[in-house]
Amino acid sequence: MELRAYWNIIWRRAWLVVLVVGVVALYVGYQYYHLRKTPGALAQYSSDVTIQIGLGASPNGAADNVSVSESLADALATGPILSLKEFDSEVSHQIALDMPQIEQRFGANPDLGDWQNPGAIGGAFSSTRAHSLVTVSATWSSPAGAWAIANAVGEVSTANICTYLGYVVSKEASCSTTIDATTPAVTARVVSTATDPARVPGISASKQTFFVILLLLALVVGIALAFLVEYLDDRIRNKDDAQRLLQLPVYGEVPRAPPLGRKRS
Amino acid sequence: MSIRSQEQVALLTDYDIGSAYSAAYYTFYANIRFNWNNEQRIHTLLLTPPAHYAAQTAVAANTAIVAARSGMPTILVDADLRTPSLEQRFGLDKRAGFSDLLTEAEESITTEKVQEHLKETFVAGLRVLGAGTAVEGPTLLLSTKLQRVIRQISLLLSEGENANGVVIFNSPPVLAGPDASLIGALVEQTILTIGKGHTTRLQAKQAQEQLERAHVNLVGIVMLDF
Repeated sequence: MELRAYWNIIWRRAWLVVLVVGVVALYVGYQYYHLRKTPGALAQYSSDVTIQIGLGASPNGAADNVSVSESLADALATGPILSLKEFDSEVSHQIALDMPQIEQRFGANPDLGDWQNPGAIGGAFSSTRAHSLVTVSATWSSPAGAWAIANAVGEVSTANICTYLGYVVSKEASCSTTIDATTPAVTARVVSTATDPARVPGISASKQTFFVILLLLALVVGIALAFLVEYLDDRIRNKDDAQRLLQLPVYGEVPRAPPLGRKRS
Repeated sequence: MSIRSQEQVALLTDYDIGSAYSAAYYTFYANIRFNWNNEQRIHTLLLTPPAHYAAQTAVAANTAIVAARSGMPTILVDADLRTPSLEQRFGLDKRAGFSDLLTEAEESITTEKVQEHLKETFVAGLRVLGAGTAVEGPTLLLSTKLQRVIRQISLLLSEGENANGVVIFNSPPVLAGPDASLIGALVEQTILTIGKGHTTRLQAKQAQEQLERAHVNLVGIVMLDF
């Protein structure tokens, strides 16, 4: 069969292709509309803050301090501290305190998203560690929110890290959480302040590719259906069909009657 | 009447002779003539579709118009006794015609009788024998005196000045009953009209088999786009 014949089949059954693609396009459009309406679904913003974990002055050797600092940094980076409700509440509180600074940077009434929700803040963190340096990334639906959270994490860590990080050195076998002179306090300082928020793919960004694939798939299915219907359609379409079927010569081919012109008298 | 319906009843006389629509009918008629035996003066032709569709009568009517315009005395017979429509197409009154001839006694079917029932049309050289007014079963009518009627119509044409002419029959669809087969078995040529996108392969094949069973001289097909 010639390419033109294939094209004729598709053209004849174009309604079917349009119907299938149309239905899928409606579904895709509806889903895409919802994604666009959902903050952070298609695009998010990330801001990083780097904190160095250390120890206060202690009678132990410096080498011990380095080793302990790295362990504590590891606890911050991989442990549950960043997702602790108390820590996240403190970050949220700190954002409220930082509001003038945030407004100065992002203008009045910046879009900070759901910043008063500690649970949402806890889910926004990811962290990496290199020796005693911990980089905390805050990924948020708005650039101002991402920066504000990262900045607040730096401030909360600097001020209160010892509340969340500590270790026990005891002379007795029994458990004790009492911190004395032999257990120097954990400290933190911000090495790199919160970076400018960078745009990153949202949690549902991959769905856009899925939608495109879905539309292409609908097109393929529509075309396949067109060929299937054509195959099942028993009607004679052209003179070659008729000639092949009946083995008779075609004496004439009368086109569709054009719109009436000259009337008979 | 809708535009679509108008197209279905439109006669060739409604169109310019140079239009593609007219040219297609002239080509069709030329191809029919190429197949004629030159020694024969009167030709009989049946145009029939496998199944019913609205434009089927237009084919017979337009072929008759082309034949008449080509200088061939033409008689168009509406043998579709089930749904007659040719008289209406040519703006003629409905009165006695083909079916009435078939109800006559054998010896009463004469050229004079045929002449009585023929109606002149606005196309020079084209006369129409309408379906008539008899109400008996069409198949019963056709199966008894059809041969004599066809002979008398042919005789009438041969009495003319040039002693030549063509009789074109418009019949019901082949699969609608034995009418088309009965007529086809008695005419010189039968042509199957196939509606593009309307006639199914099954209908076409069944119609061909039916005509072959009746020993009809099925010579070709004409494709219609409507």
